Amino acid sequence: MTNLPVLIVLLGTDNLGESLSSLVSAANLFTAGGSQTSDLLYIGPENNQVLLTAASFGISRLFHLPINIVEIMQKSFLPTLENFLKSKPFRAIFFSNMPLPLEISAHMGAALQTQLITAVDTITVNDGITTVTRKILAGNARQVFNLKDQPVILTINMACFSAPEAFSATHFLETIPIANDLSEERIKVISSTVIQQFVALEHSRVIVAGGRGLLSNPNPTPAGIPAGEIEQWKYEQGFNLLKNLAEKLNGSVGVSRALVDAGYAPYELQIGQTGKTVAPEVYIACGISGALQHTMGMRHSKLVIAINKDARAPIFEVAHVGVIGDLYKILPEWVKLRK
Amino acid sequence: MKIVVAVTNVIDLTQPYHIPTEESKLTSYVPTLNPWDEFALEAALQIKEKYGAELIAISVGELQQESALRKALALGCDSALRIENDSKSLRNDQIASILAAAIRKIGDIDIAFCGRQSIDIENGTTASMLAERLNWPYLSLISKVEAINHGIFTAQKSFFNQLLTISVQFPIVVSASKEFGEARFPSFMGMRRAARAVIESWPLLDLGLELNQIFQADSRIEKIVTGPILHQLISEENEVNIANILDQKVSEALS
Repeated sequence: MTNLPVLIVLLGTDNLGESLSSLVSAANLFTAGGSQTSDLLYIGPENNQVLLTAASFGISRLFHLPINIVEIMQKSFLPTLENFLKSKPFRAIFFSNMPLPLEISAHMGAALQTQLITAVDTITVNDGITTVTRKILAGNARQVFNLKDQPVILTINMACFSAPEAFSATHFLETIPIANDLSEERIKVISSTVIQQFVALEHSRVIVAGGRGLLSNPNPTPAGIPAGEIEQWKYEQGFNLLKNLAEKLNGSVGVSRALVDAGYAPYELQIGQTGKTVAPEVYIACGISGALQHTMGMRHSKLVIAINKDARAPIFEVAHVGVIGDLYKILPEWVKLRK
Repeated sequence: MKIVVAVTNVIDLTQPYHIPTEESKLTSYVPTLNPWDEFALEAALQIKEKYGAELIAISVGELQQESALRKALALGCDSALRIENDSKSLRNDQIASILAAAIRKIGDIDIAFCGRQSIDIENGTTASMLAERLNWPYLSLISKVEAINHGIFTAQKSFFNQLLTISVQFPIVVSASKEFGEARFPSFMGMRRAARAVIESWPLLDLGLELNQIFQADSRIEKIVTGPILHQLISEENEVNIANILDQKVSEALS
């Protein structure tokens, strides 16, 4: 049983380069010390880059189910996938933990009567026992699973698995097409409009976030601004400062609920319990006090930097690096540094 | 049109709760209606208001689940049903099987609404599994209902840098995204009605369901010690030095 191959499932809707390297890296940890090989199943349109990347990671078998992107959303390939997975036993099947792959993995878990563990963030092998963990309760606890020899489906929290070493030896990749036995689409597409493609907060590697502290802007307000609009001016100055830094770091800007409730920032930028949950590589909290409702939305972040004038602000309890200081003095220097 | 909305209580993470070493012993907490289920309720209520529908809130679990169902009634659901189960370690595939059996028993359901995920355990798999069990199409995270006409459901969903208008024939499983709108507050009249309502409950046995026993890995829960994680506190330095230190940290984290 333990010598069965593991299967990595990559969807055409995944962020191909990043997803594939995280998935391969997770699969490599899973097979560490064993003799299993990793196969790749790619569901999506013809893509040479997938082939090359898979070969460079040492994958020797690539199964390809050739369908277009919209057909992935319609999910009429599910019976084909189910039959394929039933016909070939695998030790473990890996998906990324993005919304669509998660849906498909859940469907397969139910259809194949196989245990599914989602949002896995660590994989270790010790004395022949494979242990995987995932976080629960807003990061206050983790579930720990000791896997036996039975098959399992895992979805991978991609931020937690970095790129594997490229495979050095010359390498032959065998491509095996899967018969495209699509049933009729039950979900029909009537129309589609391309919407602005922006880096969604959830996908940003760096987030620079601002809170009420943006309003404590020490810079003199220019003459002529009515008293009622001074706070708005202060907010905009602060927001632009965050935006400048975010651009230098290839990141995005987020805000805490206080600025949304005050009517300064749009809801789409809100991070926290009633806003977005994010887990970037770097989270820079500027002038955010750090109420639980906010920290619930960002505490999975890998590196949290907090800048706050108040040394007692609770944000320092969830920060790795804390700066007691004024964001209006520090951020301009930081932006200059990146010029 | 007949709609069920699956709802559940979750752990209110803003209140104190006890973290045991086994998931089945996770019982000491303040329960609250899962926020993602509130979005599903909101979507269903908007459909009821615009197109007319009978809304049935449904929950699987012990008596404690009644508070989630009462909230659903207060918001405007027409009836509520609890499938009795005292097991504290039901897996999502088992919950999906129970919901599917209950939906079949109720009969003539057009839409089964589910929340995206629970905010405490965050698996987000029940809706997909329910769709698999019922063999109904699953429309995930729709942002707007465009039309419901002769059993054809037309909705908007953003997908891969596109806003799609998609249609599908009833019956279907649906989950709603946050863009559907903030969940409403119950009215005073609704709360009074809900407080007096008798909530129907069915013993699990009545569904004639053999719960699937799939192999499970041994598992436990570990508390993550949330002591100070701060490993560097910078104060009283000049801003240029601070900027240099922070920039270095960020570069290391991204490399």
